[in-house]
Amino acid sequence: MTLRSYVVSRLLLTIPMIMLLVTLVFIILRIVPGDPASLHFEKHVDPVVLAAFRHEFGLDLPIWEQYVNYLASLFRLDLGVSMGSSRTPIVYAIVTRFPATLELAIYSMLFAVLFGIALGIKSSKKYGSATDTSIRLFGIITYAIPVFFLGSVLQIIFAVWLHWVPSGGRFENAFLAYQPPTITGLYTIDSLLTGNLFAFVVSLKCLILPSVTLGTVLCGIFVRLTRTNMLETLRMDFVVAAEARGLPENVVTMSYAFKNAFLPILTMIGLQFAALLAGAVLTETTFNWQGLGTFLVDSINSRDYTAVQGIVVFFGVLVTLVSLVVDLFYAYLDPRIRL
Amino acid sequence: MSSDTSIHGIFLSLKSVSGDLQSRSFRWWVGFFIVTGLSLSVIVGLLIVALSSNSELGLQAVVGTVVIASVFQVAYKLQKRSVAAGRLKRMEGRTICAAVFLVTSAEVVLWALSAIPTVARAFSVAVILGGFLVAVIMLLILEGYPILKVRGSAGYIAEAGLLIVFSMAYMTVISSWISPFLATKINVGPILSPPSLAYPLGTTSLGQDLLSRVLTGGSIMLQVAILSVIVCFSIGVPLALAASYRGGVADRAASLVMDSIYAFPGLVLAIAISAMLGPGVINMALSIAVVYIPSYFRVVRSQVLTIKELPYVEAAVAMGARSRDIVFRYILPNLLPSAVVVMTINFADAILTEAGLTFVGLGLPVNVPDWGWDLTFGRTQLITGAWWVIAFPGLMIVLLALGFTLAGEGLNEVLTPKLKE
Amino acid sequence: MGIVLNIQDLTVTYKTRRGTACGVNNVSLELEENRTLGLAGESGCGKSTLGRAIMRLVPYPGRIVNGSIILDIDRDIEYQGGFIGKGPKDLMEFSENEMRALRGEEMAYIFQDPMTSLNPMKTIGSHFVELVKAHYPTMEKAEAIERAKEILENLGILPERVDDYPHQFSGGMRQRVMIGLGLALRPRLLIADEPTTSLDVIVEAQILQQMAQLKEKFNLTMMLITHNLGVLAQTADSIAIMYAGRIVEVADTGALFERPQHPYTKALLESVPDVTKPEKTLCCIPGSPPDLIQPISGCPYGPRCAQMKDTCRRIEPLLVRSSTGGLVACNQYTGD
Repeated sequence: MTLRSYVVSRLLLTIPMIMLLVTLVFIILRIVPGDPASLHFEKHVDPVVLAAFRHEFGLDLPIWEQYVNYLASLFRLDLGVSMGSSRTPIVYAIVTRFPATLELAIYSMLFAVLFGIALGIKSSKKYGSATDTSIRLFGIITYAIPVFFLGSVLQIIFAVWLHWVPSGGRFENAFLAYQPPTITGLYTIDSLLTGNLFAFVVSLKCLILPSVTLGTVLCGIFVRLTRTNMLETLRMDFVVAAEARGLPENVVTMSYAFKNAFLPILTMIGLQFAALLAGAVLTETTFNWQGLGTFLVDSINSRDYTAVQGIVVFFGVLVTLVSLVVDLFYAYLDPRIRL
Repeated sequence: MSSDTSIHGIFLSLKSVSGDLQSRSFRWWVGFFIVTGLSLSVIVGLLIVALSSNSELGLQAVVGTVVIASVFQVAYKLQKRSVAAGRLKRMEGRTICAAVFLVTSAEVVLWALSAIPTVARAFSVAVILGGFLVAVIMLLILEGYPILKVRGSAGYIAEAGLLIVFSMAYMTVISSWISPFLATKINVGPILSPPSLAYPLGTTSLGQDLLSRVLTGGSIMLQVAILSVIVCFSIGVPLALAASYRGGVADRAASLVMDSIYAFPGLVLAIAISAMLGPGVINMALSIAVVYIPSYFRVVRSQVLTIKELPYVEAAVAMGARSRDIVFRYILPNLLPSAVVVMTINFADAILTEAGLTFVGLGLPVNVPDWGWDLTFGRTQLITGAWWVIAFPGLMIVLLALGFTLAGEGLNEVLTPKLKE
Repeated sequence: MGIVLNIQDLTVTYKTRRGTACGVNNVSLELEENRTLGLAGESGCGKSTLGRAIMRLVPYPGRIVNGSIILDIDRDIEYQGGFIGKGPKDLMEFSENEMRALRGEEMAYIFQDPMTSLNPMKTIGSHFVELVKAHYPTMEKAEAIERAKEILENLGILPERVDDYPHQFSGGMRQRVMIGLGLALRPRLLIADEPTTSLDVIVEAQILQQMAQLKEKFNLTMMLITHNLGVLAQTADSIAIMYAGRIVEVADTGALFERPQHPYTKALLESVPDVTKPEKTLCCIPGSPPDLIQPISGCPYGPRCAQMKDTCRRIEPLLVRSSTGGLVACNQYTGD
């Protein structure tokens, strides 16, 4: 298969996937017992108010019409308005909240990938030693820790007891005056863009606990994957052949063994993106981080089902697009597909 | 070696290593102390807790479970020996084992009915279930050794994980009989007291005894996990098997649906589903099950596609075997190991997802003891520095999930060996 | 002619869960300059392990526990942070860094399967560049590429293919690239581990011929590891037969084929078909090689040997000079 036909077929596959995905969300929120409107008003409510509410959100239409309306508005990138009294458009809320989640996700993923790969390589090179065993155990244990438990423990140690970092939020309240203007919405990048080093340090201090928490929980899988792949490639002929040609150790490890072990890891980065967002929901709630995760939890607590629907659709589409990008990148990296 | 013919077990293997006293190596002593020390401390701890229980039936519960397990164990050993000697068919041996277990259980029920008629039903259910779990634990300890010997570290990891899992299940099953206070009772002690002699793990902000809550809190989590795994397994595996064996349109459609579910962040989808379904064990289990069906589907599908192409399956096709036989006799047995591994990991995922659902406020009502809830609720006391409120429930979740992860990791290498020696 | 490689009492063990296996057991060998030594034996007899041990690249969990490997280095070698003078040196005393400086520069190794011995993520050219950079850090990349083109051309591969990836080459071409890589820095010793086993017969003949030419051109000393006695008959000057980690017979090629001394060698030769003698009935050797973890006492070949005597159960034969001028390890010849 040539690269071009691969790209085209991969792109074409994405469309039905996204269609299915949004349909799935629709099914869950409409067909599952419990109607969003009556669920929204927890207690008994005046039937007139309920009917007016149903009408406003189009919930009184037949299910097929609702579905068509839903698809049509999605097509216009319209996710509806909030069921809360403000009636804010969901797209607006998502756009303002997303940078926070993105910032957390980027730093956590960076931490998880770099730390996980480094440990995995170390572990595979010391195969069978005590270092190897402890790194493997670390990988297994991090998988078993609920992210909000790890977050709480780190909060108690570093925020409550040691006062090294704030216990939550994206920016310390005391320094709100220094908060950088919104350019990308990522505070660390905005502060660098405006040359505000102080704001950069403050936002980094706020960022460090959440991203280490989420990164640690995610890194276990990278440790494990890197280790098994490295063990496999390290015993391959071309690695031994490189050794036999007297290439330096770091060249053999990195550009022979690791370069070949990296492709499956890349796939895993794409797959883990979903886990990253799931973890972000809990991490954001733990650290009071005003991103999409807290938005989702708040919406559930206020029974705002349009918001829930919007966020879930957004997350699903995001993951699909990321995995598309990762797959294309994979094809670009692997010379056997690149042809 | 002669010991191969005798009975195996962790204790016995330690014995068989020993020559005379001098030649016992350092490692032997370390192993000996770890094994005996751990078992002794578990037994002593169990007895202390049982004696000071609120129900006054703690000792009966513990002894009852151990008796059932021991009787079962003896019956198992005897029938195994007879089977080995050829005096008994394997099926007969199994029937005898089951019969012994049933009879001892029935006796427990009879005793409970006569001695403590008010709580007889709950008590006997707990004791019989607990007895079964102790029997499994005993089996693991006494019979696990051959696996360990062959499989090395992977075997140890698997065994450790399974032991953790079954021990915690046992603890949960008999917890309500051995906990020092009623887990739901508030104001049994001062509010937020740190760990002390009277309250070994401290108290919560409602003045509940944390030790009682920690002992009891696993039940919801385990129920949800077991239910969701059963649902996942019984939908995911047959669906994948049917779709990928058939191939064609059915396979493509199923994969597409599964892939699109897989694209969602698992927790987010579970949150959405359980927000619609409302709280409750079954609802939670269902919402978790939906999320994890694709992971079975993907693994089983790739296995089927590989196995289908293997020469022995092609040979069976060439010999005119029916599809049914090929699926059930050739393919299914070969993919079960990987399905079991996925299942074990799935348990850990289900537990963590349940904790996550509880954390975002979709869990059960406050008065049900649950580790996830204690952890969530305890976080509001974080700023006061009351670390014990989150530390102990959190550690229990970690331990339970770790047990499943270890078991999965170990079984993965034991059942589906990939890296050759 | 000098001795290029002198191996004394080399022992390699593999630590497994079942126990310690002796992969190479007390092997002593000598290689003379510009000669080809064939190393033959059935699968698992330790011939590859011996080859890898000379490079000090025994795969985990193997370990060289005893012996010396003396290589006569013919030029001074400078490497980052050190210098190795010329003259005979024991490789076992070298550090890992010193070994890296020698590998590729003084000794080269060619693997059995050319399909897997090139990095699939790199072009052929960058294999050469990395090799040259590793040993001559000051050399320019362009110069290295030029050299690569030259070498490829000598081997009959179009020079412009340096920018291609390994998967674009056939097996025979890949093996030529491997040979080119091995000889790029003009090493003195070439160890070829079944270089033609996975190739078809025509390509095999071409490669063997090319190797013979290169050997003359570069004054190479070669060790050819194979289980194919036919290949050795064409290419080797002398042959060593291995069995269960030990050398059982060493002789010049002609002598070995004419008058094999060791019963194992005889049996091996009888199991090879001969086109000129279609009436020859092929024999197989009964039984299987001994378990290396639980070695038997006496001669390791004893249980499979047709001429086994009582002494063979007790005494492990040593290598002694045979009547054909070679060496043989069999109790028949120890005069017992």
